[in-house]
Amino acid sequence: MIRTFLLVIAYILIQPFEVIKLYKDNKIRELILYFSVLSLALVINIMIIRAFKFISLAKLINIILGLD
Amino acid sequence: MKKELISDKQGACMISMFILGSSLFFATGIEAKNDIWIAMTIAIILSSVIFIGYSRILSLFPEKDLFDIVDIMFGKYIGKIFIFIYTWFALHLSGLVLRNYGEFINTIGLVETPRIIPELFFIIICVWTVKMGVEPLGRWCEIFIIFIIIFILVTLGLEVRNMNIDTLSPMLYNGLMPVINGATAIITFPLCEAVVFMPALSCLKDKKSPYKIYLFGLLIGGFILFMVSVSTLLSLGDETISITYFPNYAAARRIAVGNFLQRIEAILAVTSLFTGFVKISVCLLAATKGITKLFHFDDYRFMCFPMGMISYTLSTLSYENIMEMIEWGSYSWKYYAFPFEVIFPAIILIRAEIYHRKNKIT
Repeated sequence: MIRTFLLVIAYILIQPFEVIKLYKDNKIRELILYFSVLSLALVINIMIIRAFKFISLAKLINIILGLD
Repeated sequence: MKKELISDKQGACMISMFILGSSLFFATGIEAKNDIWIAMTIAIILSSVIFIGYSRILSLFPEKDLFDIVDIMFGKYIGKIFIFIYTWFALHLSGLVLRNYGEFINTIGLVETPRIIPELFFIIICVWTVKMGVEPLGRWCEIFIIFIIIFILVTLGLEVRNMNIDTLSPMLYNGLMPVINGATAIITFPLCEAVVFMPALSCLKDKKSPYKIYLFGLLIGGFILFMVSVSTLLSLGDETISITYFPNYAAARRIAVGNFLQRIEAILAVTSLFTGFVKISVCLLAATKGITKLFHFDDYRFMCFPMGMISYTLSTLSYENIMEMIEWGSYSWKYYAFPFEVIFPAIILIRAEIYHRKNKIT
């Protein structure tokens, strides 16, 4: 609960300033990249919050490097 | 975009603080056991050679950062692959360091608080710093390195009472292999992680600056790291170090001068927070510059926040628990980081030399 709350606060606090600035300067490509990366982070965070089980990066890298 | 400039002194301070980073509470090179001082010396000497290589790349292309250099030398497609590789490395490293601090705070202080809360505040401060640019970070490092050196020296001075010099003997009892393993571990964590400075250091005053910055940074950071590691070994012994999550912190906890000077470890905790802040900020700066370069944008600042959030997400995804973090850091990190820190820079250096000579002739 507190995790979701903090995440939402963090996103709301910082996002509008950036977006308004980019929109005013007519920087559409920047806006697309901004929202793509932010959405990726948000989606993964929500999945983690909803207890979606991810394999840890450490394990994944070990498998890729053949160290497991 | 306004051109940013940092002085050699500021750059060297940044590298020193970067090297100290999370290694102020982790032990590195524990494979060498009681020969850690030999491993540390070998690692510093070998790292200075690698750092000369990094500096050479940067000095061949003044006022260009690593991303510009690979773009010029390797062309559109291979250049982009290199940019992607180093963006990933910087971003992943920032996530890993953030996780280290989350676990550290969660273990030693805020036990009941979820790990992600200190991490969130930490990353927001780093995002803010990166947004301000490399100049304020350089100035901050120039001021705070003095306090950090004083704090560490005071802590080490007070630790002397708990030290046992016999821990250092017998020398090379287990042979040379553990020392070599230890030296490799120290090279990959934390010394040559400074490769992420290459994208960040396009703001130097003259052509010789990369050499000065890298070598002075290594000298100061390496010396402090050497002192901290050796004093921890002398205080705790190699057996205790190998079973403790945060040995340097554990060594500082044992400081007690009479009944009036205790809990000095808080100084080490605060100091490591300062150095970690620099490390995460530099990694984030490099990652942000990388992603904007990948998509051909001039300004990087607008991407600081999304990249900070990705770094925060990576910190959660990196490990399942603290045990996995310590194990992966000790055994797998060196294999994972070695190509990024040594092999790819070597390829870039060779290509840069060829490119430079060809252009000189024509």
